Amino acid sequence: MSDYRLNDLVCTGEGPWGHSRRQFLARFGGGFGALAAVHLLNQEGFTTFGQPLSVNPTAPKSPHFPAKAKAVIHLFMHGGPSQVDTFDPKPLLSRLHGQPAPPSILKEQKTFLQFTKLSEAPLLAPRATFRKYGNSGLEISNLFENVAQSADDLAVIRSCYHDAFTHGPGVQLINSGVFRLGHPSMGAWVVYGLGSESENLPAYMVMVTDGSISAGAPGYGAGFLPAIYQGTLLRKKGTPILNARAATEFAPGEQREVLDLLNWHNQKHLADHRDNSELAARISSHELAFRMQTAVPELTDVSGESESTKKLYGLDNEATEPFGRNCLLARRMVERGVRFIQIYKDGWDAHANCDENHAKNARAVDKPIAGLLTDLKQRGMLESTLVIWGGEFGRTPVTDGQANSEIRTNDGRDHNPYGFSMWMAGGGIRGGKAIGATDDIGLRAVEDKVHVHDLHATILSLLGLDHTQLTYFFQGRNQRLTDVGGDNNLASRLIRA
Amino acid sequence: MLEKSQWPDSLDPQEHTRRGVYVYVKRSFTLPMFKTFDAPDSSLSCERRQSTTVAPQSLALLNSEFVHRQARAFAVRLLQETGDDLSGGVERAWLLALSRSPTEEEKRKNLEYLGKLEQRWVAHEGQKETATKWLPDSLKGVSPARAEALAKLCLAIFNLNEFLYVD
Repeated sequence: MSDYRLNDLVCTGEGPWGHSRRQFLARFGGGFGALAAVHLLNQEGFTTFGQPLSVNPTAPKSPHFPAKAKAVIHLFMHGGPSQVDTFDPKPLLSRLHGQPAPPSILKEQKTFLQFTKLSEAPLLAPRATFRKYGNSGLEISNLFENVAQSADDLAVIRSCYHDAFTHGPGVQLINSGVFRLGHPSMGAWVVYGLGSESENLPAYMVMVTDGSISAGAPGYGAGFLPAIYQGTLLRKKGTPILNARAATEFAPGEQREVLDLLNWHNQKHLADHRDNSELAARISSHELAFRMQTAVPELTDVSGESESTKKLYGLDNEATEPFGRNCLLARRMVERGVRFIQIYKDGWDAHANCDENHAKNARAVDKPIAGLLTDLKQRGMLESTLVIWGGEFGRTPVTDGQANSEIRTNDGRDHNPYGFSMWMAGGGIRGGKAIGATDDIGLRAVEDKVHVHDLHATILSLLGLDHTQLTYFFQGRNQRLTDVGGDNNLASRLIRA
Repeated sequence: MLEKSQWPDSLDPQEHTRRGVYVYVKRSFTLPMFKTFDAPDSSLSCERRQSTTVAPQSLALLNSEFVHRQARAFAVRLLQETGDDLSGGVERAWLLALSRSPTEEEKRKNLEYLGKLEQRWVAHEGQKETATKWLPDSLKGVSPARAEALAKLCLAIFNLNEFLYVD
């Protein structure tokens, strides 16, 4: 007789002697002790400790109050697009082109830039031209003439600011509210707070168009939250999601049979270990994994989309196809219950020849974004889908580099986190409006300033989450996406007509 | 999760079988397999390890290159040690992986499924090219269909809760 069966005989009788050590500890130690601990922790508000993660950490949860938006598509313009060339018109720049910045702006606080000494760099007028669009007359530059057709749906926030003036920290800050590594990204917080509506796909998905993300994977990471809340990168080569296809071949029908055999064994094992919820969770996660294998290729196969839809997103044009495909995939993800989607478009870092750079990048994204907004609206999805556009920062109204510096260019712009534009559409927002303002040359946010924490508070509010209540206990305190900020919550203003 | 290209193989093959605890850690670049299994973020101190049981872990355990490679290696070992004796192979597999013999019922079930899987490979046109590629020369006489079936049983073994969880 094997050890296993001997063990079986000893451990399956009634009474205290009938319990294995595991069962004994679970029932008499962990059982009461854990109940008490959970109760205490719940009282203290440490609900994350009381929640057994193994049961289903992404089960849908109710928001704190009725949500306007159910899903988010964040169009991340990586590199930092210039506000004065896109969504923040500054006629004064054209008049003062080539001159130093006005003394009234220079004399304010010291402004740290990556390469540029503000007082020694001349102002640079944009080549892009602005005009009013829609019934609202919202001013947008010709770089985004297609997006501008949806002007009445856009709420442009012209007074965004923070203080991270290089890419990695900037991306990290926009994502997590903290410029250092280790804090959960907004998408991770949202999935932690609301769970997943999709059975077969990750709730937070990330796509990268061109290049890579400066902050790397931590940019869309879960930080100190459980890893399940991290973003899943949709890969451009091979299988779209890591391990969604078996590394070696299965004969037709074989994989299902392997899984059936596995389940047979695991169910028998489970019968002897009823107290361990992880074992049942592992069995069901195998089944979910099996279903994901077909859900992922189904998601990325756009052959069933009509020609007019593909054209709407610019899939018929080489310049717009890569970003357009990602926008179309984003819509398909929202349809399938994915909660939070980020599409990165690298390339906006125009230290030299800003006009050319921005013309090229805007060409790549303008039509696809316009297509996305139109398509979402046509399908009745825009009301419940929040679309966010913006970079990790904006750019300077002065040329890049110091006087006499080798890296000085006379037609580029440096990084500028002190004032920049982002816009939101959908998700209950009544558009056709601009919020806040930068100074006369578009350098610093001066009116109705909106910090990243305020943006985050606003986004969470639209999703039905109170940013002060969405907490996770870590390193001795209830951590928040918005830290101790987020007071300028724009949500109520954005949803009013 | 990361692209394979972000994790090139070490040049020295001896480095490939080192335990993960000795692996050089880049702060912003957690090993994908570790991250899948709840490795804490390496840029902050970790006061309490998390433990999740989620589908990406199952995808890694069922599909990843690493697990499939190990399953084949395990199958090769079983074939080398027990040859044509399938029943002995199952017995040996259970002892090596779980430190116990299979019950009669378990053995019967495993042999039944091994037969089914083998039949699938016999019927599958691709079979001639696959197993012959990964079996060592000493095992070239083994039927490719049987080798493939055994490798998939080994894959199932690596996914047994009894194998994955410490009792």
